[in-house]
Amino acid sequence: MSSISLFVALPFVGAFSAALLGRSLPWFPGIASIFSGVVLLFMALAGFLIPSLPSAFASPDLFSSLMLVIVNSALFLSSLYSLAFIDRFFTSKMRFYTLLLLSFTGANGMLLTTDFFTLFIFLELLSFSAYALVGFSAERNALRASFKYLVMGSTASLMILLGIAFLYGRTSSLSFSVISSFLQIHPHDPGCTVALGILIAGALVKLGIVPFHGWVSDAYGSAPAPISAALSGAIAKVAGLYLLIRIVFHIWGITPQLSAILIYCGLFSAIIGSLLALIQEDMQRTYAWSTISQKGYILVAFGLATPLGLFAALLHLFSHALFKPLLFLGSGNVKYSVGTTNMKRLGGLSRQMPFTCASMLIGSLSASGVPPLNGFWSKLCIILACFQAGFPLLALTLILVSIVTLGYTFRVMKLVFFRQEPLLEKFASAGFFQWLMTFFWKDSPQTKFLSIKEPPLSMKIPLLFLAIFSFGMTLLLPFVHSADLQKKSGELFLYHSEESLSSYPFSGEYR
Amino acid sequence: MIYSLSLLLILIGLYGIICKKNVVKIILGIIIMEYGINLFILLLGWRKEAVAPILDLSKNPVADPVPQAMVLTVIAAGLGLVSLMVALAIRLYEQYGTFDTTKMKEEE
Amino acid sequence: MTEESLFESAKPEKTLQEPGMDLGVKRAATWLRGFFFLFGFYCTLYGHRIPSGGFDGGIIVACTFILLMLAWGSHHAHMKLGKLVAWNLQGIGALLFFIFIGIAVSFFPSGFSSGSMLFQAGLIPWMNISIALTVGASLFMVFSILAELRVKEVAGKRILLSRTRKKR
Repeated sequence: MSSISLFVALPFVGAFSAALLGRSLPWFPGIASIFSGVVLLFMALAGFLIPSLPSAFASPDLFSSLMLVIVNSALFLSSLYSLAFIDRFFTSKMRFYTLLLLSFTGANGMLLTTDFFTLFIFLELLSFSAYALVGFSAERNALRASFKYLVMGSTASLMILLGIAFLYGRTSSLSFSVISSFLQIHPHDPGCTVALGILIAGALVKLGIVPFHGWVSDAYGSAPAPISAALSGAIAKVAGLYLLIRIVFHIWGITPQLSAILIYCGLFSAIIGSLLALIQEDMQRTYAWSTISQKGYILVAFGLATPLGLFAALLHLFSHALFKPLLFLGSGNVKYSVGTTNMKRLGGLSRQMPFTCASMLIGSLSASGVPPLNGFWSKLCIILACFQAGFPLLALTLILVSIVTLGYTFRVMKLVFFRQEPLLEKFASAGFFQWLMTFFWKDSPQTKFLSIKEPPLSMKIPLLFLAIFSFGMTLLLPFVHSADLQKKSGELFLYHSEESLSSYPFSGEYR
Repeated sequence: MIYSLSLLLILIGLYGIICKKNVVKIILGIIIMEYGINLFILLLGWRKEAVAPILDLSKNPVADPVPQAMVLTVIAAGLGLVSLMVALAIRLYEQYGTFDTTKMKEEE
Repeated sequence: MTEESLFESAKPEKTLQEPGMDLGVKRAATWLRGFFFLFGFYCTLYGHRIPSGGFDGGIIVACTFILLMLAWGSHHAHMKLGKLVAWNLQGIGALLFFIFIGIAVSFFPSGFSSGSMLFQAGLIPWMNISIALTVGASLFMVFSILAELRVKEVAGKRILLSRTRKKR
């Protein structure tokens, strides 16, 4: 009980004290936000790495502890980044930090509850703050994107409420464990199946997966950069993915039909997200479509429902939360220094902004799954899990999508950092090797960008942090015993529904 | 039978969200849908010949208080949502000069 | 006193120069203000016995100020409860709510008992009061900001302007 208080109370008290004191003390909201981010990140890490700590650090189970680490690190990084970013573009820091802290109150609260009612309340708190933050800049695109997100997200929240109401009507209880034991006894209750369908639809809209992805590209593309980072790296995962996994794995058991839904939705979003990211003109919209694609990967891995698949999904969840904020914050750096993220007007920035260029290069390599980085290990595990579960074509498609990911992330790098005008004349007479080397040469910049400087230190530290941690899994590899981790993550999802998973035809043997 | 009437209200709200082009009408659709869902939740708490759930020493069956508490909280959350939506609609009008979503798309 | 001076204050030309609504609305509002506020206060204090609690009471208390604003205009209403005061009240109410939750969790084993008076019922009436403060202040703030917008014709297009726009 006391852990719930601190994870929820600290951002909440921080939000309202920032609202009260933010006018007279302008430095207060940022410091309060960073302070709560640091404290909660330490508590979440302690709770995750040392499972036997007392209840002040503990959370319902290991999945919530992992998500708590992700969410609080996103809080810390985006609030540190926003110190300088918000000053440059917007006038009111107090409102921004109030909304940011309220959204993370909602996220932390969602991760720590064990009954549906408080889950819904925190989901609403999270969603409202997210709607307001997406439209924070009050320009035309941002307002339209915020309205689109608001309408789709409200409909999804209301659908989730309707599903909770159906569940309450059938089981007259709102807590996870009671509903789950009811469903063990009556697995094919028609009212509960309707509730399942409605809840899954609502959760998939919140996640931003292909049949329901209409709001994602506008919202992530027009939001301020730290908000896009926090949204895609943490909030959409909590509101959509965490809800979905709780509902599908822990409360109901996974069945072949549910698994098919997850795999199809994930596969289509992986393909469509990556293909549409190839043709965008704006950096942030490219990364928005990339988010759809990577969430498709995670959903496919969850849908496979084998122990290796679940382990791979958690791994990709974690590494996506490391490289995607890196890419979004890097584009925020570009916007801060140059003033635009439209790739047609940028080019050749690698000499003026070498730090941003290097960290975005690391982020792009991690997103595409290139060996020494995090993304490689997680994508490898997903593809191996697909092979192991008996879907070789799925695995081949995911490998192809990974190559397309390489394509669009490096397209962004090329257009923003490594290109110099005129483009075609240089290549017309160059050979293949020279073309390849243009990825690594530091070209001379365009003349209009000669006065561009790197953004200040408080905006570089989050990028450094994320870039260093992108090598984390490679460094931790000697300490990891793969079979143990797989068994642990398999048990994570089996604690309520042992029978239904063992009757599932794809549960292969453990590695 | 009475549950299907609240479901009808939900569907009317959903129709408003999906098929209307005016921003204010979409907002009204969201509000109506929220009312329909609240009504549905309240109706789940009905028992036969029940009295209100205040402590009473007679032996009548008591209506379920949990849906009532849930609905009150959802109405409170809906208040915040409505004020956010109206503020967004006002900002949209300030930027575009119209409430029509098709005209907003054309200008892009 | 002649007949003219008796009816002078009720002349329609004079009352129409003042902002707000009709004389009848203003007289009715003067009487009803007290009852609204009393009812809202009652709902807040007895909120632990009826299902709604402080939220209801806060809405009704906000309704008194909204009634002021409707009958007399926003300038008069802001003299009674300004925007800055409303913003601070909202923040203080939310913080107080959390402080009471913290006190309830850590000091009283069960902070909630079933008495009926303010001090016998544990901490819930205090939480109700703080919720009423927050909800009332924020609803009043929303209404006052929305009420100050005007539609003007500028260069042939109708746009929305705020009446008083201060640079912060």
